[in-house]
Amino acid sequence: MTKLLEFREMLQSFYGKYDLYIRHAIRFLVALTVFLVINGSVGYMDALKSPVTAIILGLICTFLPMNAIALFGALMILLHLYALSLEACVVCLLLLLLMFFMYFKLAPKNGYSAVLTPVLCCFRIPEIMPTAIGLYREPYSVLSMACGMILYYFLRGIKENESLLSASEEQDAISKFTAVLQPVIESQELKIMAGAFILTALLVYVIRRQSVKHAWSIAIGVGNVCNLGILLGGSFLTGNTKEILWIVLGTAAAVVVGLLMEFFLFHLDYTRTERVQFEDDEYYYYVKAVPKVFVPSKNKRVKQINKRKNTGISKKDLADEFEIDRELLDD
Amino acid sequence: MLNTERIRLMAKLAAYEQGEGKEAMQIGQYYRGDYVSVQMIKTFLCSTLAFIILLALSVLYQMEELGEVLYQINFADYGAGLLIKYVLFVVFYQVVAWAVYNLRYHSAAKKQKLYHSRLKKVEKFYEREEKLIPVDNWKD
Repeated sequence: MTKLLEFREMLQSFYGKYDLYIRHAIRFLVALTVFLVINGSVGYMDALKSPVTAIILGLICTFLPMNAIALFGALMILLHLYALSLEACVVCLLLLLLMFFMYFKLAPKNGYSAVLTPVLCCFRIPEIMPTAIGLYREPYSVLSMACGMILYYFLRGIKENESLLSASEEQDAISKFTAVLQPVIESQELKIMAGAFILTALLVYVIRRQSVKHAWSIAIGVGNVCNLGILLGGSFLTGNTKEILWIVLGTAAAVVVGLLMEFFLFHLDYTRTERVQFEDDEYYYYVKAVPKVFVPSKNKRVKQINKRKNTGISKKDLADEFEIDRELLDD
Repeated sequence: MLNTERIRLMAKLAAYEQGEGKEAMQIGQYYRGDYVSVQMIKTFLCSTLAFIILLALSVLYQMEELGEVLYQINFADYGAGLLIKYVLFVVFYQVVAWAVYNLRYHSAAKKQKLYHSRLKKVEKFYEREEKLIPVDNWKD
């Protein structure tokens, strides 16, 4: 455990030293992954499909705020869908505008969750999201996760109806609109998943805020058991048993990510818990203070060459400087 | 001689001004009532647009069925139902916006209070240092 704690301290000091570069590198990697995933799932426009475009856009996003990834991603999806079918593009634009007006206008800083959810859905481990949001974000962030899931199911539906949408002459526009919207409106899987994820995230959030020992671990455990139960129950009810293995693997990944987050963000030493009581004019306070586990880095060496000098000048120094009696300065 | 405590405070102030403080400073320019009212008007426009989009999506989705039952629809009843839904939708968003923007104003005011107290501390440091300058000059 001590080795792990030392490793954490080392990582933290490394991050502190190079945070500017690390943050930009992470932003670039997230942006690149998002654009490559979009190209992989709905890459219908040849000019945009090239990995070079994804790299260039990723580099641009590196120097822009996080929400720029969501904006560029949305534009990319719209262009790809325009190349496939105008109807799909129009519906996607309406969906994105709806998400913006209904949610992102009120909580503009949650672009991250909305972008990462569909990406994790593509990697088949979306179960990580509710745990991460419950542990690290505010409860209203669950709505951005729901937006991300709707977008993923919408794009998956487009891929499934690709042939119908690209057949421009045989099919009329009305049936195309219905085909595009059906996977979002009628998908039982989406409803079960969104319900399970929202409930899990809220459960994790509520439990981890409790003043009990190992609150984060309990939150991760309870949240993921609840998530697993709902998802497996939903799979059996809808008869979609092919996904069970992925659900179990995703939940295991969520537990691992949750424990890692706990280790880095909330590692406390419960054996040294202190309880104090005090009062002021208006309140009586019952305070429980739990110290963080901290191991000082071994490499840290402080060599004192000169004793620190006092920045101000004392009366004694002044008296010595002018070679006068110190008592003269007392006035 | 550099005053490290003052520099530390100034670094915190600069980080705040260039980061999370940007939004708080903008909010701080308004009175609470004005800020919340402006945001609620914006939310009203956004929720109206969102309702129109929802309506458009629902029409697009049911277009095939609508074509068949269009002549059976009582437009007065349909319009009244739609109006009730719209009012409920907008009222819900107004309540949410009122809560969100009040909270946001409260949090911004708290941050600004801390910022101003730090600013005052820096000022005091400067005043103290100015008093010390003549003494340093004598030393040179």
